[in-house]
Amino acid sequence: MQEDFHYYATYCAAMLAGYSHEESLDICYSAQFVDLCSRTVLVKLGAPAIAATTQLQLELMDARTDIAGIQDITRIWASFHFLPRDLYANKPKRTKRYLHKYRLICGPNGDLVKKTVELAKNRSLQSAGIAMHVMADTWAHMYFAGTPSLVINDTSGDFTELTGETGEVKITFRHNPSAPDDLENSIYTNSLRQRDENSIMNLGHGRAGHLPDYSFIRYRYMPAWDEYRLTVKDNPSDYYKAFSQMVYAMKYLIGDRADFEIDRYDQDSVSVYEDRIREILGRRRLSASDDWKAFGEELSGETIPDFDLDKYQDEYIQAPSERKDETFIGRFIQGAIAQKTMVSEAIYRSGNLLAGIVQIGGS
Amino acid sequence: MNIHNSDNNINLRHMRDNLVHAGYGYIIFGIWSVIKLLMMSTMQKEYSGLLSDSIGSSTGDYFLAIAITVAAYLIIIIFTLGMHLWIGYGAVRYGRGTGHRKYYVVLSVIGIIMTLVLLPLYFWNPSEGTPIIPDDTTIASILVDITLVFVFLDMIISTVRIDRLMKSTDPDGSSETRD
Repeated sequence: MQEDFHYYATYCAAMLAGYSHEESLDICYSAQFVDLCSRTVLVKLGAPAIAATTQLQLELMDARTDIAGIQDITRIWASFHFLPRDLYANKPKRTKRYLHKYRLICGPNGDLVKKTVELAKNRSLQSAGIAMHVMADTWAHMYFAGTPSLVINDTSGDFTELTGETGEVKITFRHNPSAPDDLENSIYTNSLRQRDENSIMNLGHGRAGHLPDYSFIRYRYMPAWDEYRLTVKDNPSDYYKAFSQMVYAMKYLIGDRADFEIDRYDQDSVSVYEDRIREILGRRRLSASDDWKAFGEELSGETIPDFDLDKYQDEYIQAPSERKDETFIGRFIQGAIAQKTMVSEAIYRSGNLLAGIVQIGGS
Repeated sequence: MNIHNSDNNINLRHMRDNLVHAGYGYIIFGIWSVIKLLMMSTMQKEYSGLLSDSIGSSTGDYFLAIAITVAAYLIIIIFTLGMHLWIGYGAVRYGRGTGHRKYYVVLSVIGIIMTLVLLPLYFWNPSEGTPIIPDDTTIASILVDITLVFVFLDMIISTVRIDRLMKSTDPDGSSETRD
């Protein structure tokens, strides 16, 4: 997912859940900041690098893929962008090493989604934003794992876009990261095929390019982990569910609901706008920001400012050490560390060392 | 919307993938064969000694022998690589569905027969009629040859299974239906 959904659509979802304009802005800013809070940014701010929620391309190029490096990568990507659906999933006749990676495959409505939302309850709006990012990505990034793995994240070269009821268009990939995706000719950028199991090229949905990040696209492909079965990814449908689930989750966070249950979606507030939302999701373009922004401004009657990475940085830098936790970024950092710790600990408790040894509180 | 992934279609994709890998495997064997030939002729004393002993004493003989040897090696290398590429890519193309000729199956059968017929020569010297005690290099060669037989078998079995599955599936092997 991109800024259009993490920032503007999250704002819309927060408004529909009952948050005020200002609160919604804080939530959607935090949701989008998850994609930008790299070590590079944190070091510049003098903030703890452990709170990193993403890795920049340049950081990934330098990332080690020995066990410590993989654990570091997995802690970040599995916690914030590829939340595992089932840490105890099984597959017959597979080695433990394979299963450890297989169990990190991302998907919606897993136990960790529930824990993520519950973790954000009674915490800051920044934590709510982080939870909404994580939840939304479980829909966009499903079928990929937040750890480098050829046997899980590789795909067949044959991707087909499904258009209309019966139309099919062959998707072509190239490996030029500076070239924008060409929607007209169905030419997209993806990562290079590397046969090294732990190559960075095999992290997340790199092999499928940005296809999972576009709300309009429906496509068919063959993931490496699914034993020669074809998978259809229906982004417009998945993104609609993601939006409805965000509204449902934020109604829980705001206190309108006593419990958060998985596989539940808000119907009351969202169904009124269903046609509008589906129209925004289904329109074919690289970014749906303008439409989401217009929708959000209609909902609140307020102007939604563009996302500004520098917006809260001075506040954090200038705050004295003992007051940094009270700043916007300070609260974001606390929420990020809590989320990363919760997910990493859950992975460790499942007997999987891919996120390292993390034990908080014991049991 | 779901895809119906029938057993036939799944097996067909599996066999096609097998065939592609076997084809590439055979090409890699070809590259290995060339490297092995060059290593043997330059680094193994018996062969390089045989070559230098056969050269006469005059400078003309020396250069002629070198030219003939290089030419002979080039021919062998081109033939070996060409053969492996021809067979290997035939399998790869059939596996990918871009080629329809199955000449590589016949050549694979010939390859298996030749490899199995020549295999005893690792243990038996027919000209002297004496047994050979294989050293570690010979054992490695035997294992490589046996692996090659498996690659050939994989190509043949995958092709036969692809043909059978194709008969019971769509002609293009893509009969996925959406429920």
